[in-house]
Amino acid sequence: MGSHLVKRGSVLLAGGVWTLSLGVAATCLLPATAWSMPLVLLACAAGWGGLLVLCQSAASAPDQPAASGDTLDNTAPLPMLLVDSATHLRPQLSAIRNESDQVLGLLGHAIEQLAEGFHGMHRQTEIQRQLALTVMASAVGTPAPATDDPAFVQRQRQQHDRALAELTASAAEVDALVSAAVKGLQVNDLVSQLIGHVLQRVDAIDIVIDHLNALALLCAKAPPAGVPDKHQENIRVDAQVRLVQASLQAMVVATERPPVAQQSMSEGEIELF
Amino acid sequence: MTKTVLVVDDSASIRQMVAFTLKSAAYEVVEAVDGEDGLDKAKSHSIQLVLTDQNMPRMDGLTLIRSLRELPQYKAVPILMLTTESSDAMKTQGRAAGATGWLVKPFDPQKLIDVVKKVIG
Repeated sequence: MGSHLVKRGSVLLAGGVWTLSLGVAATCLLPATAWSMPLVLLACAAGWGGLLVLCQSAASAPDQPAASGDTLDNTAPLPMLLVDSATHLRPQLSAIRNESDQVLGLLGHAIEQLAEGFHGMHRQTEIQRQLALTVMASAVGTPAPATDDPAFVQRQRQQHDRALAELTASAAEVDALVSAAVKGLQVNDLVSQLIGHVLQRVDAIDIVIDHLNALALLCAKAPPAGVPDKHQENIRVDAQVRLVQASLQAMVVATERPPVAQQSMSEGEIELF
Repeated sequence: MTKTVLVVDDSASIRQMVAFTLKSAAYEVVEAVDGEDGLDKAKSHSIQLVLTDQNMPRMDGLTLIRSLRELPQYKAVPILMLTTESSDAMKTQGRAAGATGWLVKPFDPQKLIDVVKKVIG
């Protein structure tokens, strides 16, 4: 009975780690395409299927005598594998956190530099435009050259009007380019929020791994010698299984609402109430 | 008289873009890094419009709006939400909290100026 429970717990643990590993891999490696989620679900189902077959064969096998003492039972391979997995997954999660912080830092710095550059260029362009307008205005007031040729005066006036029109068109183009740059530079805010959401997922996965690790240790630990009643062991394992299930549920709830729905940098809608 | 806009956002780059945009249209800008900072700045400045993000540390945008609406001097001051959030549920919460309007990021500078002019002139 006790070893069945341990085997059942082991299978649950292995399934949990398999699901988590796929979740971590999908989060970090797969692009957000329409086929990526069905692929992950298929792989997840295949893993659980294999484990259930394993569970059936484990249940039909005769019980092994339990090792005595309060030490880890090295003959319980699945719990030991899970303890090892947790040990190796934690540094990976830490690396995801550190690398995400690094990405955010680099992106923030780059956007700050780009924004300063764009704003500086815009200021200088505006100064140049104002200077050109001033020069043109003063040229209009300049005494006409000593000529009575009306065609010459007409040509000068046309050149002035053409230059003014070009200057106005150029200013409008600069404004449009700056608008596009301001929209694009907001990428930092959207990406920061998305990475923050990814890190929430990482934190939630970390908590699940904690509970899985505790369950694995419980399953790997041989029951104390001379304990006649396996009931207490059942209660401990079931409580830990419930903790794992609760942390899985909390993970789903904590991460179900992404803060950013935008798929492009086109402008968002405006609504006045 | 120059009108002053309080810009509340935890993203420095967004504050920079909004300030750049509004200053180019001759508005004064006061910046705040989150809801709590925004509430403090609102109490210590004369503000004609509040432009706030939703997701911020310490105090979010909806809480800031509710807190401002409790202050007598902010009962009628327009408050615009500028956020990545675009769901109807969030907009409904914003309207119930007392928001005047909802702008989804990324914003277009000219359209932001148009909305601000429409709201406070």
